[in-house]
Amino acid sequence: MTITDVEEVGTVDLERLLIGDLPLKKIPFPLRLLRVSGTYTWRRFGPPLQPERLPIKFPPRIPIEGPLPTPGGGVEVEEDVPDVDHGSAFIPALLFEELRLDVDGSFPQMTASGRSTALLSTPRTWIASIARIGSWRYAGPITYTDGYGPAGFAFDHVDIKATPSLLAGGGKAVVVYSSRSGASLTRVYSFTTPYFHRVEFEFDSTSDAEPVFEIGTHDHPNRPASLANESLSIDDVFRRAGFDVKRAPDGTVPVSGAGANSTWSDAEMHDAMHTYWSRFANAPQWSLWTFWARQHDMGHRLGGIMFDDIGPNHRQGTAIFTDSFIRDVPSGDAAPDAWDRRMRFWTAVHEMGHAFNLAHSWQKALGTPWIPLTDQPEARSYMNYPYFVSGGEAAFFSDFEFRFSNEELLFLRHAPSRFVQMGNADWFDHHAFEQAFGMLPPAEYRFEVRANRERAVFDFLEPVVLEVKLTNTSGAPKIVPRDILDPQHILTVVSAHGKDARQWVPFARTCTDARGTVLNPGESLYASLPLFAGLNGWDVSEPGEYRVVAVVEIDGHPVRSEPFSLKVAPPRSFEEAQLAGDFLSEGVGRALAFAGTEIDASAKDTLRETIDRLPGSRAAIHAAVAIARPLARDYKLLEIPEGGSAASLAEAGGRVRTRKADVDEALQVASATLASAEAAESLGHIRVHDLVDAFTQDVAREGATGEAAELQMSMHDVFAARGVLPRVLDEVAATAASLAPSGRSRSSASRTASKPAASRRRTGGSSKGTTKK
Amino acid sequence: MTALHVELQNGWEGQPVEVRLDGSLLADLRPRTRYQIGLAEALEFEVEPGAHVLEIVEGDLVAREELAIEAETWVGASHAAGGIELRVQSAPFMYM
Repeated sequence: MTITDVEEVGTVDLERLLIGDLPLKKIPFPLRLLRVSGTYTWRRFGPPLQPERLPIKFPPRIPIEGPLPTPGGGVEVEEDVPDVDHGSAFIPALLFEELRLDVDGSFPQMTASGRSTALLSTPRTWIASIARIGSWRYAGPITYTDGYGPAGFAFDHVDIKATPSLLAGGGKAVVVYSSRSGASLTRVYSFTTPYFHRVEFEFDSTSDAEPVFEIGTHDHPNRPASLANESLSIDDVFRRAGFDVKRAPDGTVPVSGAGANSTWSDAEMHDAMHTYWSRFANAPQWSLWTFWARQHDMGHRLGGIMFDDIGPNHRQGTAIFTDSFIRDVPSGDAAPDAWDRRMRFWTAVHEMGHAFNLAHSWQKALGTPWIPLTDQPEARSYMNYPYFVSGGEAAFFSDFEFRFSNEELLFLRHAPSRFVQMGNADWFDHHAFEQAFGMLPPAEYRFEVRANRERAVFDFLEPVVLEVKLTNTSGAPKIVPRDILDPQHILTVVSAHGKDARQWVPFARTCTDARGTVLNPGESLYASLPLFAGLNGWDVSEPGEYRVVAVVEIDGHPVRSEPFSLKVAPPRSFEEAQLAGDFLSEGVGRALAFAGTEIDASAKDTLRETIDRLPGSRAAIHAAVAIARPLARDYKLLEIPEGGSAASLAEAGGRVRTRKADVDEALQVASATLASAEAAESLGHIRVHDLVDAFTQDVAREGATGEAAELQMSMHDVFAARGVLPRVLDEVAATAASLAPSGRSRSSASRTASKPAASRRRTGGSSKGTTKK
Repeated sequence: MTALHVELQNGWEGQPVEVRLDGSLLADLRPRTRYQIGLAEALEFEVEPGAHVLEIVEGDLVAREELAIEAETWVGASHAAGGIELRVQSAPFMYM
């Protein structure tokens, strides 16, 4: 049994405490609840993640108010450690990091490990072997890294100061990374869960199988003298190995699935897994199907098999056969029923261990081990054969503590997840150690980046505007934040051919409506992604090829789009090349992003020059919008007298002046371009829809209701020709009708409004339901 | 006649293997171990009771075992310590 030294209080057998075998009165109250092992998270935005969680509800963390008690009974004051965002020190486009601290609780391995998840790269893992060096403080060398490339991880040592979590809540870990070169980095991680991974099991069985899910550890007299007397379930075994185990409802598989011979082949079981496992997917997921059946085609001498080494996603299914040698109780055994139950239980855990990519104890050095391993033919582990050890199964069970070996626990808890997760690395590949988003629940959402054109080729100087689409691909309604597709909430990374990836950062950061909205199965949200310019400049402007990946976060999960490829064409004329220097400026970028400016005279001049010198171009369409939009309304300008410098605008003599609308010029500039097929293609349906709505509301307010209605109907016709959904066309027609109720709009029976314009559902400045066919 | 079972167990990676009995070729195959059960191939031959020499040959590696077969016999062959190791027993091998 593991003995853990716990601070000043002395030596406490936490294992016995955890399993209820140690009188609680021996432990001071706070210590009963304090531990630091588990997973801590840091992420670029938002609250701590539930790592790799399934779409199931987790209990809320219990908030801790005030300072935490220390084991010695004192009070530990939280250190005020600034968490400097050193994300780029790890990897670019970093999304989140996990820290796994493994120093107390069940079978502690005195190990810390970290995993960084970023865009456009596989997760990176480091592992450190640590020792306790102070009160809740641990340090040691980094001994393993994965995914950092030839340059390697920048640090080789960690020093971790943990604040214990009470009732699994409120903890944190301050990690100081350092290297021999003197570089160091401090990061604060928030406690998330006492487990290292989460996993879901589903146990299905045939009517002629006799499964065992739980045993009493003292039911058989041949056992270690120190073994705690408890009822132990399969779920308990994996929880102690570090997994947050959830159970899907058990199910029944008809015996007829085995075919006429009533025994099971691997292929038949694989088919049964497809048919009867509620969570089956050809994708990596922390989910395992365990199948109890009577007998395999190999007959009595096969006790169980992790049969799923078929197809592209291995290790998702495992089987136990209850009419096999595992029930051949040795003659004269003192407790035959307990022997039989223990062996069925043991075999189930053994076969499930294979699904976690654990090899047999005597095969550790074979295949492709994740770290150099040596065979352990005498190991008292679930992964050994009891009858292989010296002295046979009686010797095995006399020392067996119902646990995996330390090497196996290290692998299960700290190896790169892709090596362990079901459906990820092939069986026996890096056995006994993911793609960046392999942990996501499959088929819940689809997130897409796309362009409003057949070929994603943009003209030189054409501001690149893309569209994002989020679809609920599950069978159940989902609730997502109303503003989830607001560009400021999307992590967008652009990589130009041969250059480093860059994060696109929009100019505007606004407070948006984050209330939930229901997304029904098959329903989608859409938004415009004005990628051309942002705080990093004109990210997508030079001729060449680009790749765009976008990520939204849903319930703590990053949901990533597939990479979207686009191309910017070279200049077609001397005029274009000559204008580029002025056009690709921050001022013009801002004017285009905000659809106009009155104060940046230089940007306005460039935009007007673009309209004049590049008539009919895509750049001119965007420029026309930015010129026309402010003209359509009385425009408020803040004026401060020259030389004015004071504590407040009032003291400086500042005042707001209104520049009167010039509707005629606005209509002259906009009418020919804004509601055109070219504008719909270049600005995108969503952005055109929003711009035309705003523009027509403004000019209508100035009295040009007929022209406003005409513009809406022009957009209607363009959208109709481009196959936009009738529902959206109805909305546009309704808006037109509301602008010109006297009948000046070109309404027709087929354009009858289904609902007023004011009822349009909007998400973060974008339209929901602006769906193309 | 009695049954001789030859089971190629751990460490077989698809290389050509010959199973010979008393110099005669019984099987010529390319076994590949399924590590989740530790078994590549299970072969069964009918042999006369008595003394026999079993050979498992893979490239330069040769494992030789003199067998005194009286009843049904099982031989397990695995790669181990740079060679091929044979295990002889009078009961079936079990797998899981």
